[in-house]
Amino acid sequence: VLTFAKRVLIGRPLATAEQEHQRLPKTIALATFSSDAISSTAYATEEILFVIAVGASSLALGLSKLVPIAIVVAVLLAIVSFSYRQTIFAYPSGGGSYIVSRENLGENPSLVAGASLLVDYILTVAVSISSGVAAIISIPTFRSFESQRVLLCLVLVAIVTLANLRGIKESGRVFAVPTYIYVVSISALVLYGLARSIFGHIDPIEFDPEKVEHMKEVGGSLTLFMLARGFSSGAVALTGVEAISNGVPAFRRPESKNAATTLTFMALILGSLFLGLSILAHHLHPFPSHEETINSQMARALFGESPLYWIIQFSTAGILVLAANTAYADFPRLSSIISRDGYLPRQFGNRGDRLVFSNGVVFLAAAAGVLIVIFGGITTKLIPLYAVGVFTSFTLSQTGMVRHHLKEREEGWRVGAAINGVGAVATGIVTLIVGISKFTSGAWVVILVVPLIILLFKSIKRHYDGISTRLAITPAEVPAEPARHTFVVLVSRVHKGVIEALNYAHSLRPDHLVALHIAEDEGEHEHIHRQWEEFGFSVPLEIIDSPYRELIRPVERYLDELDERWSTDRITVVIPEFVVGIRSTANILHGQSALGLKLALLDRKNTIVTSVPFHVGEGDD
Amino acid sequence: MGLRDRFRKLGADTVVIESERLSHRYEGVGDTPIAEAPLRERTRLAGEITSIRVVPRAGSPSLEVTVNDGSGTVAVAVFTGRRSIPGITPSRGIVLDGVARRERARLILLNPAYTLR
Repeated sequence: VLTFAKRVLIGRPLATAEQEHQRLPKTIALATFSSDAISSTAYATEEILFVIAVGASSLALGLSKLVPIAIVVAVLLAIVSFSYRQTIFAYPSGGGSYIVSRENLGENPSLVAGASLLVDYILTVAVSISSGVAAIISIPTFRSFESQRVLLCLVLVAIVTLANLRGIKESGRVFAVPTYIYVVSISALVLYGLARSIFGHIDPIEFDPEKVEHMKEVGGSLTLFMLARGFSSGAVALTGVEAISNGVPAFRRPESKNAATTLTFMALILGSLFLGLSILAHHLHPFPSHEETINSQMARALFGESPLYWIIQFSTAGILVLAANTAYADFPRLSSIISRDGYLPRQFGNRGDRLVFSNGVVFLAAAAGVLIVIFGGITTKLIPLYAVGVFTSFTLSQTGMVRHHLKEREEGWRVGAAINGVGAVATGIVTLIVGISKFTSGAWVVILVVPLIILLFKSIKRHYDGISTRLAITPAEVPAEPARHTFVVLVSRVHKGVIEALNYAHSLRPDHLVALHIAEDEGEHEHIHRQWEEFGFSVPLEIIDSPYRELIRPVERYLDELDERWSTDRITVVIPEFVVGIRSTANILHGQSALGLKLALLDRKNTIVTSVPFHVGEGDD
Repeated sequence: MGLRDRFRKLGADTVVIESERLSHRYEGVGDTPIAEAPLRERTRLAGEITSIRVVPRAGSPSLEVTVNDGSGTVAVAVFTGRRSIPGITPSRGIVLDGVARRERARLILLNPAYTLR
């Protein structure tokens, strides 16, 4: 029944050989790899405004600083994109932060990068999904679903998870559609809005003080610290920029060149949409609220509730779901690489029925779900956690690239090192700004969690290393075969299964063979004693009293005794088991004491446990 | 029994509980505890039968009875020529009267006189 349900939900299992490698043309690749980055335009502007307008307790003052901050973010985007072009050429087989820092910086930095990336991917899912839901419930028709926000988020997470367990191709052409619709419709919004504000006139969105607590239309003051926090929020626009450098092998030949071109296009689109939206917000005066996103406010102000508005909102939700989906591709892949290096449980490296790293997918979904529930599906509350990890991994990746240039000294390495150096310094500074300015509002969680994850990585690694040292063997160390063998057959009462077990033990010609009966009361052991006589078995029977009605302990004690008596022997415990069928409900009628005994004896040295099944065959009686 | 002892006892293995019970019960019944029994001279040892070993029909019959009194050493009474003795079953108390010799950690008494308790 379980298998059937699984087949329906996930699909038939695929053979390992059925894995395909699809190469993408630039137009499709742009859409698939940049959905994460471009989707951040859906919330980046709003997040800046949330911090500076509310911080200044005045919308006008906040708006006046919006564009300058957006410009700084755009410059940062340019620096980071240039730096990643270097990575694309240096690591054509895909150079995520983890790999670049592992190869150039050593163990600890790579673990920092790995841990922050994993945290980041989880946050990508949480942020994108909650932001996508925000786009939908911004539509006045669906405003009533506000109270169901968390539930909607979880449903979306479940859908995306299921799709990924089925093994959705991140390279699917279908994915290009929402991304392009989003890019085109937002461009239309920005261009139309700006054209009207330059050549004509647009009225700002009416300010409604009731809707926005603690905020006036004018006045207020803004500290440098607030500006830094606003900038930190805007910096989330850069999340996902690294995606292309991870996926270079998926491009058509020449991979590196195509990937680099695509990256440039992505940065241009992202930068101009982000700047455009910020400038538009400057003109339109939307007010940040949890009820309606500012993009929705602006689109509604310009287009009314026309089909174009609906297209904008739904494509926003669409691209955000795709952004979450990229995390579903990246998290399992990264965790499988880390687990192959021995820092995560090996299970993360197992491919499931559909060739995806199912354990990673499920883990990601669970973690993101927990985050969404904790933060109530509110994007603004999740954002402070987000940027720290992103920029930590950026910084490490760029620093790693500088080291790479210094080591390789390839043609033009000085320019490359300079570009990556600037990138490293810039992202490093941003990491600090974000970490400090957002520390109290949530970044501390990440700053606390990442080291904990690293400790976990290390203890897992230590465990695996310890095991492999203990398992390793050289030809010189191969021990001699143990000389002798003792068999102990457990007997509860004489039945067909016991005869089977005794015959089996005999057939192996052990040096010592005993039958063991653990007795709870006098009647029982007299009975078995008599039966033993009656059948005339050639095996000595040991009857041990168990005054406390235990089974496992007396057996263990007896085995200890045998160990002492015949110290060179290896002991095999033979358990006769009658089987009524694994699926049979009749199993609850049997004590399953054999199972507990097996588990306990597994822990014993020098002891082998063997089950001799006797198939009773249900329904025969 | 002090509080600490009680506490210790909660986590104790049944082996410990069993030895305490046995030594309490059989103290003073025999001449000495089994652990301190003299070798190669007549002695009386008391304890509880914890296990018996029935030797198969082929070969010379004998019955091995393990007796424990909680003193740390067990005595094994070997009755040659017998396959079973009425009354000698695990969990019965028994007093053995015979000559002991040591074999590894156990005392062996060959065909001792016995009294069931």
